[in-house]
Amino acid sequence: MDIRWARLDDDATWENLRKEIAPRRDIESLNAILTQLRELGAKSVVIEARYYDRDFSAEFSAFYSKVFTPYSKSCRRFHFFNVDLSAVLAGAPTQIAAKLEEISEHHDYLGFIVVRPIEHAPIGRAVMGAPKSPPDSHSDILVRSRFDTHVLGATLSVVGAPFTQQDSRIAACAQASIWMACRHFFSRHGGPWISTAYITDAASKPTDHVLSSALPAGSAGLTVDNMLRALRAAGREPLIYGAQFDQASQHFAWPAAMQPHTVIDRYIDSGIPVIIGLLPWQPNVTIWHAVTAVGHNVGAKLHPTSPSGTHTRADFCQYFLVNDDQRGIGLRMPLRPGLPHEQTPYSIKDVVYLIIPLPSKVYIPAESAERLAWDFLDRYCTEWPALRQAYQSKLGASAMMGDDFVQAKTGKKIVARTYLTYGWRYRQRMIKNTCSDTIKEVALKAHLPRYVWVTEFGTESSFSHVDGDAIRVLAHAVSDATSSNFEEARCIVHAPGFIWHWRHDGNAQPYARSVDVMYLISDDHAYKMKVRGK
Amino acid sequence: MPRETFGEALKRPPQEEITAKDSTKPGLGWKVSDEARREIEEIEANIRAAAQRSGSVVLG
Repeated sequence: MDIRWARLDDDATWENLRKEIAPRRDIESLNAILTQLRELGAKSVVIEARYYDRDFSAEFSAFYSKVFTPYSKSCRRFHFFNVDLSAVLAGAPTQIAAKLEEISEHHDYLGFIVVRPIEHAPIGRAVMGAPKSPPDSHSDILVRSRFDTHVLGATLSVVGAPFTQQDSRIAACAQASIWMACRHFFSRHGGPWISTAYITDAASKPTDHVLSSALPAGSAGLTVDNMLRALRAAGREPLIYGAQFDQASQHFAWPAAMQPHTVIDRYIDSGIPVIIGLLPWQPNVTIWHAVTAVGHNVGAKLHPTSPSGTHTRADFCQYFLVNDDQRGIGLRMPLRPGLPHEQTPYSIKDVVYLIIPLPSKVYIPAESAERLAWDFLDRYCTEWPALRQAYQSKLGASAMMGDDFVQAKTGKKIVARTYLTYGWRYRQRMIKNTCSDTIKEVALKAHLPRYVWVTEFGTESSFSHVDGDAIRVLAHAVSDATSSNFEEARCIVHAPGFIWHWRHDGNAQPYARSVDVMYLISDDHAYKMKVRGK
Repeated sequence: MPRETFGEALKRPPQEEITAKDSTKPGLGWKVSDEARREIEEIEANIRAAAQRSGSVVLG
């Protein structure tokens, strides 16, 4: 029979499982994945001993079918559960399928690993749920989608970010990091399904001397240019950020207004995977490396990094969760030295390039949208005494809220959080939020573009919570992500006591501009921040 | 002859709008500051510069 199962109840069984997947080699990423599954409470594994995997079939077709050594194209798939399946698997076929689906609905299906018949690179692909959080913090896979598997007549689901181990015979970390990003777009947004072989092929059109320095071409790595070509071929609009090399100090440095942790967090918080380019981090490491950031771990304490006092939600982050094709899934990459739960040998200081595979129709970067939002807030705070006086009779409790907000701004206690979302999704979230009805009415009727940048503002104390549901927002700005420097990107801004809405002035032809309209909010109050997946 | 509009407007509770017609009221017509425009241009210039520098770096 092609299906087997085992209880995972002691060290010996876990070691046997490891040897079953990698009998003669110590594979770092496999060890990390098994450790993570054990931490998540895995108690049973079901193995499909003969599984034809679309990804490996593509690699087999492109390479392994052409070499003299005979290779099989049959893979194995391992499914992990945090329940003992002995009673379930002894039942009638109908009961097995029904019970497994019930287990999946209760989130007791932890994920799967597809094992290639390639000894040096066994992990074809794997998807698992969020890793366990260290104490007093919260780890969240922000770049996530649902993956369905079919086994024993049941459909099982796991939510996570896909992982692949590089098969160094035919590809490198560059292809793996692109694959991990693009497979997310396939499962979450209906993007194209692409294999590692396709990525190498797309990256090498046109070819160049770097690609041709290894056989098969591209197996020793890709340049950033090659990676951008592959991402374009996969239907993305990649944007690149980079540190500057300082000749005097012989080190890379990021501009003050563009610290990499703030850039990464804005995009992963938008559900967009970020491909991180890393310098060789130790003297004995000679090659540059690429990993994919898919989540973050946040604490309750702000660690200010901006000299101008414009704090961001990234300043609460302790680690980014990265999928590293050589090391494992959702590994904690530290943002500061001395953090006790780091899982990577590199840290944020080794980050020199960021590739953001944006969807098309996003024409302003996150940092520009956030700067616009801060600009409006600056003006609001400057004008607050005049606003307060002019509308005093109608503001009610909003006056005190405005006083407190302006005081927090003066004391550099305001924190911003910027993310990309669909216009319709913003509207949906605001209508379901706990904000005032005036804000909901504006959100209900506003004409919004497909993509908007939303910047939520709170204070250091209102953001100082590990649980996102407890965080409170006091103001927010919505910018048209399809805009540019040539147009008015502002759509909606809320600050205590007021909401502004820019709407297209259809009567002023031919170059119609947006006109701003303002509404007063009596007895304004704080509301919930966006929590991914809710 | 003007065509009759199909359907009726969505009726919502009235909200007191303050528009540019109320020119004496503060809070309207706030333009993006020159400083913000300059900083946005710097952000985007840095992105362009990164792209120029990055081409031949091999990630492997």
